[in-house]
Amino acid sequence: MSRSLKKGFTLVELLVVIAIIGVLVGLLLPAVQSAREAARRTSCTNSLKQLGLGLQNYHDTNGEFPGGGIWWTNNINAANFARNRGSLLVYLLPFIEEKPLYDAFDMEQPPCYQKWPGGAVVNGSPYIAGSKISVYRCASDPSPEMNEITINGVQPGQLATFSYAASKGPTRTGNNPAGSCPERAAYDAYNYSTTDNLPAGPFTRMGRNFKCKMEDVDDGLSKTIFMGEVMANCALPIHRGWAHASNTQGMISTIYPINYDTCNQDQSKGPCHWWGNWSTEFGFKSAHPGGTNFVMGDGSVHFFSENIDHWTYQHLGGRDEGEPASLP
Amino acid sequence: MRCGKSSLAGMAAVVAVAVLAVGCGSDGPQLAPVEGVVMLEGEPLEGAVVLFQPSEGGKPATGLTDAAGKFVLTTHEQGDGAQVGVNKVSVTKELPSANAANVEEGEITDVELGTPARYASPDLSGLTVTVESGLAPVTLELTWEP
Repeated sequence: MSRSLKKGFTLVELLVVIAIIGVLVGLLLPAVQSAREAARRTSCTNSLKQLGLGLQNYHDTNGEFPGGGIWWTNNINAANFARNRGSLLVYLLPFIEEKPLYDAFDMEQPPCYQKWPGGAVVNGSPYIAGSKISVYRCASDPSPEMNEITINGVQPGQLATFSYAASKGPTRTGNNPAGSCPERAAYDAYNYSTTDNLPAGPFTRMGRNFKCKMEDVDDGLSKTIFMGEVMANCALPIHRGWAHASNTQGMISTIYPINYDTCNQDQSKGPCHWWGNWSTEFGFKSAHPGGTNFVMGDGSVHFFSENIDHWTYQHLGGRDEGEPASLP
Repeated sequence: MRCGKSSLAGMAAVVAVAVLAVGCGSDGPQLAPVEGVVMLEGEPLEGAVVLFQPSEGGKPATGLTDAAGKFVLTTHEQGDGAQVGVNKVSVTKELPSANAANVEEGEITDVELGTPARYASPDLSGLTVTVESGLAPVTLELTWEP
């Protein structure tokens, strides 16, 4: 046996080693990806907890929860818009250690397009609501952190997005000829309220007409969904930033299944699977595999599967329908 | 090749583990494909939504009828079907509402249906279908009079 044959590796041995390494990396990569997503989910859970505690503190101070939105119309040139007083996420600011930001707003005016005093530009935006608030954003949400918003031909500029919305529970959503989805009528069978002026859940975009108190939650704070995850660019009104009352806070309903895909921005996947359909877009959804995080009225955070029984989901969403659900 | 056989055996073991690990992906309730046709007073009904609510609890499956009244149910992915077992069925067709534009101001109009109202609720419709794999196309016969 010559010495030269003993030196180094044969081609077959090298190929076997490469194949083994390849298989091991193939096993490892999905594990690393899912570990990263698990970390992001934990961070999103923590943010929801902060919002839940903020709501509790708001109630301690004010004797009631904030309205979901103090909202009228999107047309910033119309008289009704002057009655707009922003979303729940504006009123929550002092209770998540963002009081200076809250104080920057003139709450006698619509907050959503208020500019910084003296024409200042902060973080690339002239708008106070262009401030990124990390506790309002879930890291799993693939939507951009800032959106350039144009409404009715006016371009107000960069507004910061959000990933959490207040729930109106099993309350019907309206229809809109601009984007009707035939499934709306089918899911309407699950509603416990047909009016935003008295929602089945704790919040409504019509915050002047209804603000929830703890005593309004007959089914128990720990068994009623208060807020849950949404994705900023999967519903047209949601992408307009956290200060805009629009149809976001207090408009998101449990009557549409968890993680119903409405992220498409045109109707190529059908009239229900796009971000402007006026019904299924108002469901809770997240990029977490298999479900979505929710915070209950007592501040506890739960991950509910997208396979949850749809009636159980309604009873978790409703505050006083008389059928308190046990947590799945 | 001194170590050829043992490395090949090792590699086979690694591949087997990988295949088994990939096989652990599926979860959730069992689904079976469901398709069918909706007839109202003997005529195919277009533009109606068929909803299957599993009696034992679960996520509803839905499908939209085409011009021939045909529908294919979807729970998660297009055409994946409905949950296996007894399902309560609703059929709804919403008509365009004259007042619909008011929703921008917070008014929520009643749903105007082009189907008999009793079919709008899976609990009240009286329609049930037992879903199983290999289910023949379902025919849902609706009438205005109960």
